[in-house]
Amino acid sequence: MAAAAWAAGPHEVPIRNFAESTLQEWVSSPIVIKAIRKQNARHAGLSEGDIVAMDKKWRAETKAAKRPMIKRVLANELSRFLAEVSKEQHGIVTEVFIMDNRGLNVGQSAVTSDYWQGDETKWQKTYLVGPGAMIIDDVELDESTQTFQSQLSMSITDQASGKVIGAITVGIDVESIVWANLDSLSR
Amino acid sequence: MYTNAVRGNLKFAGIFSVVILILAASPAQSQTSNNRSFTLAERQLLLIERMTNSALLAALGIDASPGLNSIHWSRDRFDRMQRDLRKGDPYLGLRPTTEPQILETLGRADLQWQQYDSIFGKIVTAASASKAQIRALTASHANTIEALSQMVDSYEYFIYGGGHHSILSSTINGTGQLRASTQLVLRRLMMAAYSEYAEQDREQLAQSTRDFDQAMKGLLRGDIERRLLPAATPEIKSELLKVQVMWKEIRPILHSAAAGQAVTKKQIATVAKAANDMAVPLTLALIMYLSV
Repeated sequence: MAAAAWAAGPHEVPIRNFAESTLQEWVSSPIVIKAIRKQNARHAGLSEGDIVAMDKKWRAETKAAKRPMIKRVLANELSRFLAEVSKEQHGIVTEVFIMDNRGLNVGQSAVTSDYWQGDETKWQKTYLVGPGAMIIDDVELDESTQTFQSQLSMSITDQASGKVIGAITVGIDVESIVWANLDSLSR
Repeated sequence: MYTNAVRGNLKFAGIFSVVILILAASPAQSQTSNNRSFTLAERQLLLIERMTNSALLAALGIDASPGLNSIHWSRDRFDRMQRDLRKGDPYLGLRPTTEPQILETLGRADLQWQQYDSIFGKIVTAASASKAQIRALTASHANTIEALSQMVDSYEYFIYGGGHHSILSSTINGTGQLRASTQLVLRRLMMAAYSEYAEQDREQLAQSTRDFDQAMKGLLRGDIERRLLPAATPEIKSELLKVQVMWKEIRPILHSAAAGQAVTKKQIATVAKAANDMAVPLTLALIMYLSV
C-alpha cells in the first residue's frame, strides 16, 4: 500500500512524475521556446491598460459567434503543437496552455475563459517564483471537460539564458493518471 | 449496541485477513486491470446522469448546471471511454474486452447512447428544452441507463469470474456506485419536484436516499451483506467523512421532497452543488482504493 505517496493527495506523485518527464520534454521543445521568446518581445511595451483590454476582448469573444482573436491564437504553431502532444496522452491531459512573461496566453489546446492569467496563482506561483517552480492544485470537477482534474503549473526556463520566460498549465484527469501509474503506486 | 459493534469489528478483522490472503494469492495486475475496466464502465453511468441533470437544471432555469455547451466534451469522453472499454489501453492498464457477452452489452449501450445523444444534441443547439424534449430525454435516459447498467453488470459478472470477486473489488465498486448516486439523487429530486408522476418519483427519491444512507454507512464502517470493507486507510476514511458531512447537509431537503413538501429552485441548486462537490472526495477515495 502506498500510504506515503498519498500524504499530499493520491494524485500528486503521478502528476509530479508526469511533470518531470513528459512535461519537461514539451517545454524544452524549440517550438515552445521560440514562441514564448517571440511573444515576450512583442508584448514588452504593453501597458496594464493594454492587457486588460486584450483580456476583455478575449472574454467577449468566448461568448460570440465570431472569434478572430481566439481563432488566431488557436491556429498558431504552438497551439497546434500543444493540441497534438496532448492528444497522445491517452486522455490524461484535458487541456494545456502556455503563458508569456506577462501572464498572457501564447498557445493553447482549447479555449480558456481568460486570455490573461497574470492575476492567478498558476502564473504568480510559477513564473514569479523562478526556475523549477511547480504547483499541483486540488482535485476538482471541471465542468467544461467533465473530468475530475487537477491543474499542474510550472515555470518554463530558457536553457540558453537560464532565465524563466513563461509558464505552462496542464489539466490532468486524475483517475487516468493514477491508472497509468498503478503499478508503481501499488505495493 | 457496543457489543454488536465489537462483534462487527471482529468480523471485519477476519475479513481483512481473508482480503490480505486473496491479494497475496491473486495476480495483482489482472485484479487492478479488472477494477479499472469496471470503474471506467461506472464512469459512463455518472457521465450520463450528469448530462441529463444539466439539461433538467437548464430547463428549470437553475444556473448550477455543468453548462450545456460542454456537450462536445461529454460526447468525446463517452465515445473515448466506450472505445477504451472495447479495445483496451495498455498505457492506462486497461485490457481489451474479449468476452462476447460483455461486447454484446457494450453494443447495446452504444446504440442507446446514439439515440440519447441525438435528443441531447437538439437541446444543446436550441440552448433550451421544451417539456416534450425533456420527456423524450428522460425516457431515453432511462433506456441508456438500463443498457449501461447491464454493461456494468456484465463486466462485474464476467470479468470477475461469475461474480465471485474479492471484497476489496466489491468495495471499489460500491464507492464508484455511490459516486454515480450523487447525480441520481439530484435527478430524483428534480423529478419528484416537477414531473407528471410526482408520487412515483417521490417514492424513488425516498428509496435512493435510503440507499445512499446505507452505502455511505457501509463504506465507512463496513457492511458484510453488501460486501463492503470499512474504510481501509485513514486517508480513505477522511475523504468519505467529507462526503458524509455534505450528505447530511442536503438530506433534510431530500427527505422533505420525498414527503411531498414543495421544493424551491434554491434548494435544487444546493443539492446540485453538493452532488458535484461530493463526487470529488469519492473520486479520491476511489483512486486510493485502486492503489491498495
